[in-house]
Amino acid sequence: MSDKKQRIIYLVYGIIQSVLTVACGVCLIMASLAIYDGGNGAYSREAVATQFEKILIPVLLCLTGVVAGIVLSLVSPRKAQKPKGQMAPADAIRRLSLRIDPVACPAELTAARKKEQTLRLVLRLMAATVCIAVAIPALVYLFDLTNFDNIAEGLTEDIVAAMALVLPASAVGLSAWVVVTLACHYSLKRELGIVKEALKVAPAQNAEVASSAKKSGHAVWIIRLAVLAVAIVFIILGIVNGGMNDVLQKAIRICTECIGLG
Amino acid sequence: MKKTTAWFKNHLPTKRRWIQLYAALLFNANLKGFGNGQIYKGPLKNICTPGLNCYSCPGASGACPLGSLQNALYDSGKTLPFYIFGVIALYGLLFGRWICGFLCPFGLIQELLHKIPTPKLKKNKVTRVLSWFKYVILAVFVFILPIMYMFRDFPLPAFCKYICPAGTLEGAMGLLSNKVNDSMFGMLGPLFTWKFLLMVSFLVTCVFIFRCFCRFICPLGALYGLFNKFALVGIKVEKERCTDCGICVSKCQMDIHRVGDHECINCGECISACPTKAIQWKGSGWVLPDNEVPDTTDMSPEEAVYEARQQSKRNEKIAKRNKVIKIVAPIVMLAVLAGALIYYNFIDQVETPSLPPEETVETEHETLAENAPVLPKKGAGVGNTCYGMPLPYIGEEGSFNVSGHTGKITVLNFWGTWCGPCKAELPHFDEIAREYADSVQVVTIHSVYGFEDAQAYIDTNYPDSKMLFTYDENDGYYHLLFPGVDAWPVTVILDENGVIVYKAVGSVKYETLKTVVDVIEGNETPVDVNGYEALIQKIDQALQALG
Repeated sequence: MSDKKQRIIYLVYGIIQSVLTVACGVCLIMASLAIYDGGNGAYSREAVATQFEKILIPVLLCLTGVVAGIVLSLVSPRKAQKPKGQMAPADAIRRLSLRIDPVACPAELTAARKKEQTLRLVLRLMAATVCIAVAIPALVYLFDLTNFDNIAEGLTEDIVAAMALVLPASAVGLSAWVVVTLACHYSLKRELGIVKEALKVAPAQNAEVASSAKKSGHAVWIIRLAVLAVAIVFIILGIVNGGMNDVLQKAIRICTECIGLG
Repeated sequence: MKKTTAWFKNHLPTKRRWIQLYAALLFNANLKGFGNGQIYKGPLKNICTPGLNCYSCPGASGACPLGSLQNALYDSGKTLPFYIFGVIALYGLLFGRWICGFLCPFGLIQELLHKIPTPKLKKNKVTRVLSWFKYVILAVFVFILPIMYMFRDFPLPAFCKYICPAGTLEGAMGLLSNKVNDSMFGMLGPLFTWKFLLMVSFLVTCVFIFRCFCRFICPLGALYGLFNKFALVGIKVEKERCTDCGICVSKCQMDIHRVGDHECINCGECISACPTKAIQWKGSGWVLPDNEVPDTTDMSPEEAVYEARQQSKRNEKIAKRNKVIKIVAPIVMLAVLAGALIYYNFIDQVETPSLPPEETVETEHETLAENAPVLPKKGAGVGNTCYGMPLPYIGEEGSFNVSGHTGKITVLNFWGTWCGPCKAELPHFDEIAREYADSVQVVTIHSVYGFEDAQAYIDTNYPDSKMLFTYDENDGYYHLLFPGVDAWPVTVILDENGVIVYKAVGSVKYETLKTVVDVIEGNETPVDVNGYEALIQKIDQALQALG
């Protein structure tokens, strides 16, 4: 089979299977909601069977599609694409900088690089400030015990109320980081251009593409031994203080709410 | 023939896939659980499995580290959670996120789903930032919420309860799929619907986004990621050989910035992609031939020959060692798996609940009930006359036996101070006991585990309660009769004759209890089996009307 033909077959199959997979998921969710709408005690093996019968066709189609996909990948496996690596701008800057003669480098290029670096620092500080600003009210709410009083009747309501604060805060914080990451990427690309220019103007004599100095393995081994010692001591203490038995006692009992049964 | 052999060779699962399948089977070695719908309850369940594997799954052979951690944080009020922190630190130190790549059963499920050849959403700068969201989940759901509720003396494994799709798939669906656990359907409601919705969403998304749960949500991966840099097993980059070409990062499907960072699951896919062989397994010098060409520029010809010979000798030694490892490792692994399967399925058998001696119960019953009606046969199901068993009072002398206390409606509530939902619903029972003090006796039955803590809890929260507080001293067998599995909480309501007319596994609300009690009170006491059928039907209808 020619590459083009194979690509078309996989594309068509992929689109159909995507639609079927999403449809199957939606059907399962709708079936669950339909049973739930039936009110208290609506879930039963019979109700599940009845709903499943209704969505049987999309589910079967989806499963058939999966089987077809397996057959397709066995009969005509896609060739593994050779990954095209692209050096991250930060790495490229680090490597190329080593080849520049800092003394001979024109002052305006050094200043331009400095400006980009400062810009990135400011952007990151701004993102960190946004994150801290949105995290503080969320944390204040989470650490306020009075917000978790409603155990008997409204435990879930309390959690939902907490999430109404935590999730938007997370969304704002992460969005800020996304924006800053993109901005930093363009800043790095600009700096890379400056570095390349500087390399043309002021190449270092006898430059070595030095790799970063090998870190001492001793520090890693000290950390490893320290963690190992702490882990062993903790496990022994846990066995002695009954923590291990507590794990057993929780693990052999099914807390029905804890696995989402209700 | 050669073509066929080559085809099979090309389509065989990779070594990593074999290890993933092996680990999934090993961590779910209690295969008989899938048949009988019961979870493994033996002593080995105090050992945590390294990956995300729900301990309420019928096949689970060990405890889930994440569930154990959340429960241990609740217990930290009385027992400091040394054990679970020690276990997580040990796993982290030994394996780091290699666990995610090789041992986690839920990771395997996600990868298999991702194999469906549909268009894929590749990693990008947005997904890289989103991967930090799992640290928010770790902080809020695994640490802050369980600790805050610990101060309320209420165990809440928030991640398990509200998010974990592995718990829904392996635990909830695993149990519900067995007919033995049909009683559990009655408790399914908004929480299950939410978790089912979440689980389906994750599974569908995994088809399009590689390991979406691991990358954006999994707090266990977030924890292990902290250990990734100094874990003993995993991959490493030799900085001297690395040219920063970026092929490894572009080949990787996780949101890594560098090979081996906190996002790297050490799957090893990048090893073959690296053009300079800078990426290797940690400790690989012990098993892999030395592929470095010795620098002989400053050596004399004799020295160079000597060095080459030395290297060749070293490589021969390693090749021999590899041969032994290739034979011994699979044998050891298979032996461990076979041992586990035999142990969990044939040797470590948990006794089934022993029924109370019939004659004792009958005698007590007969002495109390003159003109006794024709009651249904004894049993633990709805419509049966309830089995009796002496239940010692907590903090008092004597015991309670349902067979000896007919004449009143009896509400049995199986609970434990360690069980959050049990504690949350207890006020409803207290209210019923006060409101119907003349006609209803509410008997709470604490599990034998942790009943030592119950006295203090009762004294603090229910000092003047009308409820009777007992415990199930016979190792929880009385409790096990009703739900069939070790599920908590359980409520059983008996009419004046001691016949079970309502049973619920899971939490019940005040309105439900009140409705059932009102129907029983408003009904003439049935005198035969048919009368009970009508009463039970009436209760069902009343509960349906309640919605």
